[in-house]
Amino acid sequence: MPYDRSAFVTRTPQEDIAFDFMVDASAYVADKLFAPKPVDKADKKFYQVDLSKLKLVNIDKGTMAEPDTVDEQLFASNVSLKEKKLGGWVNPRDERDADIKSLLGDARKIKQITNQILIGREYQAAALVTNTANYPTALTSAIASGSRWNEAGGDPEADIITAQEAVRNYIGGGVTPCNAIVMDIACFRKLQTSPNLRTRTMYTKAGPVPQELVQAYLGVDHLFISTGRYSAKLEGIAESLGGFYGADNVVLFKYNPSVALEDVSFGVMALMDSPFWVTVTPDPKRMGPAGPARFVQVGSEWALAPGMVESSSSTKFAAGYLLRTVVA
Amino acid sequence: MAQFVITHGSFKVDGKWLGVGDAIEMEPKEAAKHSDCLISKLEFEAEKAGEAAKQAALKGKAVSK
Repeated sequence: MPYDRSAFVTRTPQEDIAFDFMVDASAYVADKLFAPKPVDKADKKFYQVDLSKLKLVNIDKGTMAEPDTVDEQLFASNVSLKEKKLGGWVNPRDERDADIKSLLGDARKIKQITNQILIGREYQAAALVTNTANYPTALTSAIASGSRWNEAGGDPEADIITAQEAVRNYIGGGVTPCNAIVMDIACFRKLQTSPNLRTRTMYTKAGPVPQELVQAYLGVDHLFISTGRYSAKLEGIAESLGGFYGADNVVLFKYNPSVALEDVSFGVMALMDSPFWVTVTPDPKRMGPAGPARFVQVGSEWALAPGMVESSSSTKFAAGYLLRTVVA
Repeated sequence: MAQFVITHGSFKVDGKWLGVGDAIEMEPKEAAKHSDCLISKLEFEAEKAGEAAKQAALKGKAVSK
């Protein structure tokens, strides 16, 4: 559960609706990539220790010799929350006359607006994590035709091990520094047809390779599949539904839902400790037989940032690896 | 197929990993997907020649001082 209910508070029943909707919205995975961290003000510093702590120092000193000193260098990244909000009208006459009133009331409108905000957040999160420029050169790669995971020459397990080793050089973290993977459902469906994975189950399982086995083959504790869809439709342009993370990208990352600011994770979602504000305002200028029209607004403040960066002078993700064009 | 040079990240081709500075052959349409990680070989060589000329000019300037 990425949202620790003891750390995030809601102040009204309407905020409860927005918060609970956000928690239940399992199609979106931004809160897995960017661990929600409650903050109490708009500007916050996130601290990180540099690699000086790994320096080999001389420990062989006698009583009368001065010991070498240990310098643990901390550096901070500034994170500034950005305001987000959307609004929508509730027509009290439509609500009065509806056969299913719950579809037209304030609660439904709050959920609908919250969903639109979450779509916006997912889009922004995906844009950050699927951009190669946001990774050090050692933490991103592409698989060329012939070696893709659903081709005969593909070897997903070996590629993930290579990626794990690359991340370990940045963040340590034992044998498997990254414990999670995010991919779009379209990518997952193709991966299920990987000849390499199929041969492992052909005599023991009926049907496509199940999710828990794909996860086990890839050697991670969590396989988050993004099933969210959005439409990039603009005025006058045909509908274009698609996923957020691309149909052939895989993000291997350090998942740590801890709310503690000092705990390492791939990304952080600095979020106000009261994550939503909600207002329902009757408009006296828009009166009708069932009362005034009501304008519902839902807003939030957050910032998405790397949870661990390459160095004090870099803003690139260090606790994850982006694999591109993994499936044909 | 056209020749490109890797400028960011790595590529797995025929089971081998290629890194920054390595040449890679790819369909231009496929390479377009990796435009932020690849540069055409011609462009790479032109940039390299330009850089060499710039260094030579700087060296000449230093000598003339």
